[in-house]
Amino acid sequence: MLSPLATHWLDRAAQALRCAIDAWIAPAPAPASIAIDANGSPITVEAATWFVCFVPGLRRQWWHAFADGRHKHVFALRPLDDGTWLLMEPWWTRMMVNVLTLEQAIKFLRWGGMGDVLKVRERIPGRGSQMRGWANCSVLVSYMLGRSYWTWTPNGLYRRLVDEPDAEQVEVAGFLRRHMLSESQRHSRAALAWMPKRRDASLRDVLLELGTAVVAAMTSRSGIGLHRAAVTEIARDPAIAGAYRTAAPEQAIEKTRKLLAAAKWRGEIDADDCTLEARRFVAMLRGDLHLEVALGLRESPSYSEIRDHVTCVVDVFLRGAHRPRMARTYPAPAKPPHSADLPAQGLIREIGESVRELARADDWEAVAALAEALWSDYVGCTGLAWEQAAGRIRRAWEASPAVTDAPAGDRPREPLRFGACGETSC
Amino acid sequence: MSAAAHATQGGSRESLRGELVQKVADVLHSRHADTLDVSLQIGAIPRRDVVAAFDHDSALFIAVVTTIADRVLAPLAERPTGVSFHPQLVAFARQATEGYSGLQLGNLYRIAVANEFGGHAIRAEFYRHGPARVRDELARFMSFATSQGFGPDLDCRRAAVHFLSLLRTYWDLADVSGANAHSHIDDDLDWMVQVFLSGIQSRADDAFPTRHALA
Repeated sequence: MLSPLATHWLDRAAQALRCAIDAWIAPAPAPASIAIDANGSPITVEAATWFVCFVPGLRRQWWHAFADGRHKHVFALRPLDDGTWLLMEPWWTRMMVNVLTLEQAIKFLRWGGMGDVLKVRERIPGRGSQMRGWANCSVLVSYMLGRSYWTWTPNGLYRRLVDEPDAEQVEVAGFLRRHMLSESQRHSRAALAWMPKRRDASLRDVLLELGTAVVAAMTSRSGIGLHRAAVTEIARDPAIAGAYRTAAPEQAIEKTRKLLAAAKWRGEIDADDCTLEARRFVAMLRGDLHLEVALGLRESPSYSEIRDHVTCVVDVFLRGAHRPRMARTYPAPAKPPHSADLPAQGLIREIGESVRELARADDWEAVAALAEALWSDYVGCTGLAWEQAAGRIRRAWEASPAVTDAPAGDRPREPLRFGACGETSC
Repeated sequence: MSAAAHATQGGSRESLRGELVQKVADVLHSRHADTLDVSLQIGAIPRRDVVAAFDHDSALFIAVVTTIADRVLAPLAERPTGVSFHPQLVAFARQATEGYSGLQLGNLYRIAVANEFGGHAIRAEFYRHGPARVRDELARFMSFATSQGFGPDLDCRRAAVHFLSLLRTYWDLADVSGANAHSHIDDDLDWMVQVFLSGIQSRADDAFPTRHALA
């Protein structure tokens, strides 16, 4: 007579045996159902390169006394295509496999910098073994890399890997600067690749397209990751933040500046300083969206949200908060023109027309110096420097009819007197 | 004698809070005050004082951002009239750009962005008491002006966002090199307000006032 416990175990054993026999005699899956590669994998992946970090402990552990001074733990991480990083860190209690933002990855790499970091290429299919036993951090990282080293300590694994011909020692600070620059450049290129296709596109349309691309990039996961990395690293290594600024926001500002400079040249905008206006435009594009996403208070905005925000920005930027709508008859500016502006308009028109009479050239560059000399006499009474008046003087010059009588050189060049200037007693 | 002792011996919790807020606000002007811990260290603020007055560090920093917001919003305290609207905006812009051009606000925001405050709820609280409050109060100010016929013609919350963004033209959390280097901003405020209200697009009649004509 068997006891209930023995009966139970016999039943379990019989059930397991039946399962094994069923599996043995069951038909194999159809060969065409899932294609596999030479390693028996449904997909073929390229061997990746990992940053293997051999680090001192962050907290004191009892076993640290038995480990190397600098190499008490080992983990590995590698960059992914979208600017994020993949972390593999064996803990006592679990295997941590997580996708990190750049900012988070930098924290792990900085930790790596306290010990040693090696760039190591994994091996596929590898030569590790599941039968290796005692799955501590060294054994698991070695197994993940496809190595068959018989070592149980981080320092032991380090010594094995560093002897490999293609393993590279990584200088973390330098790597981070280069990485930040290249990632920011990549991000910026992708965002600013768009160029206006139609030559007749209006400035509003061009700014709308550019602004949409910039906001989408700056609030994307990778854009926010770059920004947060720059912000958090600025105290430790200002060069990292500098690399980000140069490659990302400054590129957007420069692209906007070029568009505004062209628009200014066409007389579409009154901008004294296109760089400053470009900075203002990019600052307006950030709005609250960027800070809210950077603080983790909301997800990246959708395309329609971005478009809506940018449309409003462009309209306010070009037409002001008092006049945001396109189909509107604009009233006079809220503040009346300064008294000096009216004579300035008259002077601009008269000098533009007079230059046409004085210099018989079709090329503005050839006559600009003369116009500048004329204008310089009136800077005091108008308050407008040449750079500010030049565009409008040029338009007046272009609008005035060409003179066809005596060559310019044959006419006396007397100092011009402009009636408008009398209004300001200049 | 620590501030906590001072508080227990007669000073109120309120006065201790005020004292700590002032200390941290001062410390945040330092280039090195880029984390919660370092800021408290530089200010020689014992953790027990923070706990006594605020329960936790983050509440102290939220109180600091609230104080800064109060200062920035001071010029908008009075309801605008047609005459005062523009000068009040300029005064507000001056207060705001003073904050943006120094290190204080930048350090505070950097600490927030770096997740030093901890959870989402605390960051949201920080945002609500600082940036969002300034935006909302400015929107209310503009909304009143609009109701009187001299405010912006678009949604006032959006107008407030755009105006604040303009004021942050030189403000970059990823840059401390330029802090305090834009003293000329003050000269541009009047013009900046004008640009905000009127835009930069050329007028057909060419009568749009130029920057120097307005100066």
